[in-house]
Amino acid sequence: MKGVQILNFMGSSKPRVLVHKDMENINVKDSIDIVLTPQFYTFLREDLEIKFAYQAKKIAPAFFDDYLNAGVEHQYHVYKHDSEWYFFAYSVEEITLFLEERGISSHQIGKIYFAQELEQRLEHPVELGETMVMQTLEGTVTLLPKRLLSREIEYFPLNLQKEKFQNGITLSSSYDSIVPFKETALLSTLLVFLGAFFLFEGERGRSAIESLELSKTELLEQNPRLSSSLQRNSEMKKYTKIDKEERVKRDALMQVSKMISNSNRLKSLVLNEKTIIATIKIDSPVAMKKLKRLAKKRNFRLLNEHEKEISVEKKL
Amino acid sequence: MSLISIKRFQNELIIFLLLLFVGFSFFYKFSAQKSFTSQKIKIQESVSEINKVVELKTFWDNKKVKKEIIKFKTMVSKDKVKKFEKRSGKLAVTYQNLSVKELNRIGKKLVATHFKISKLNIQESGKNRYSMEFTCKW
Repeated sequence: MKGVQILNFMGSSKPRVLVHKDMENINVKDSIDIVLTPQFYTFLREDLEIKFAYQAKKIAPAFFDDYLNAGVEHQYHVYKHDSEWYFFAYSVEEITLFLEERGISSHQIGKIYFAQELEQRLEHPVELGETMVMQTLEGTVTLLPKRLLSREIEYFPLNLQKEKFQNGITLSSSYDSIVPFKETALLSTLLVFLGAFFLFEGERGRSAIESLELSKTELLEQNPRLSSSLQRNSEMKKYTKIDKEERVKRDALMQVSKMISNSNRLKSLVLNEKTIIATIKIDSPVAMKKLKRLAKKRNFRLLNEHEKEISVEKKL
Repeated sequence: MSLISIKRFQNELIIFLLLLFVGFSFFYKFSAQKSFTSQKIKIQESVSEINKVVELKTFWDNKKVKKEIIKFKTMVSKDKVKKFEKRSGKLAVTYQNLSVKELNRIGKKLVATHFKISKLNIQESGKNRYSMEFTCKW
């Protein structure tokens, strides 16, 4: 068998090849679309009250029960033509094996069409090799031995590139996949969006860290001595101690000043690192009682008490 | 796995790969957020620590205190300032014959100035008259 080079002169559309048992070997580099002749499929038409193709596809196997070899796994394709449903049963395995023998790998197969779509065009027969012809008989594309037709019939070449095909299927969708193509597309879109959303969120978190790091770096640039956590801790310890001690001293001084009123006066006040001692002179016993209560409330300890004088102390 | 088998389960394969992608991106988001939360806490702690140290340093290690200190000499008349000794980071002042008003004024200034009060001694020296002595460091 000699090889045939397939060339694509149709821009972006793929070259189409008519697949029949007498076809020659083909030499292709890119993918191609194939048009199956009735040698590779079984065709039935039914007038059914069904709305959707998926419903028709569900019941398709039941129609072919009596026509197909039970030992071979078949796939089904359905589409509506005018008022009738067209049912096709085919074996992907048989087709791919045959095409591989003819030099076409399964990954090179783009769309699969059925010659039934050429029913109008095939009102005039087309030659398939030396012995067979393909022709539409009562609306069904059929293969006939050439010898059954008159010798005077003029055969016109079939240019598949110019023909209009609408009901192609891909090799992947031809299988009875658990997840149909439409659902796959929908689910894939959702998953891609979801994945992209998670990536975006993750990236947002990462850039937020960078912005926080930047604010820390800026702060450290202003205070380079504090870049070491040891240094920070040491300074924090030092100044926290000073802050605490000095606030306590100042609070104690303020508390003593609040104890001084018109009914008493300060006699002496001594403050050092550890203690504050205030001696206050008082005019009346009532004021004395009031002052003692006030001192106790402010956690001062009674150190000395005379008739008109009181000394209070607070540890700092 | 042959090419036909891959083609046969192409839809399932696509979904499986996309599920892997979603799983990976979710893990990425989850780990980025986890790391963000822990790093955020860490950075915020550092920033707050730095700010706190800076604030405390500005408060208790303020170089402007030196200028403030001179006011303890000038806020009462000269004759009442018995001693005013300023040496590297240390101030010792003794006042005498202060009125209650002057004592209060100096006391308020003492409390408001950001230095360490090492020693303070106030004694009544007469009726409504006080002597005051304090030492402070900065």
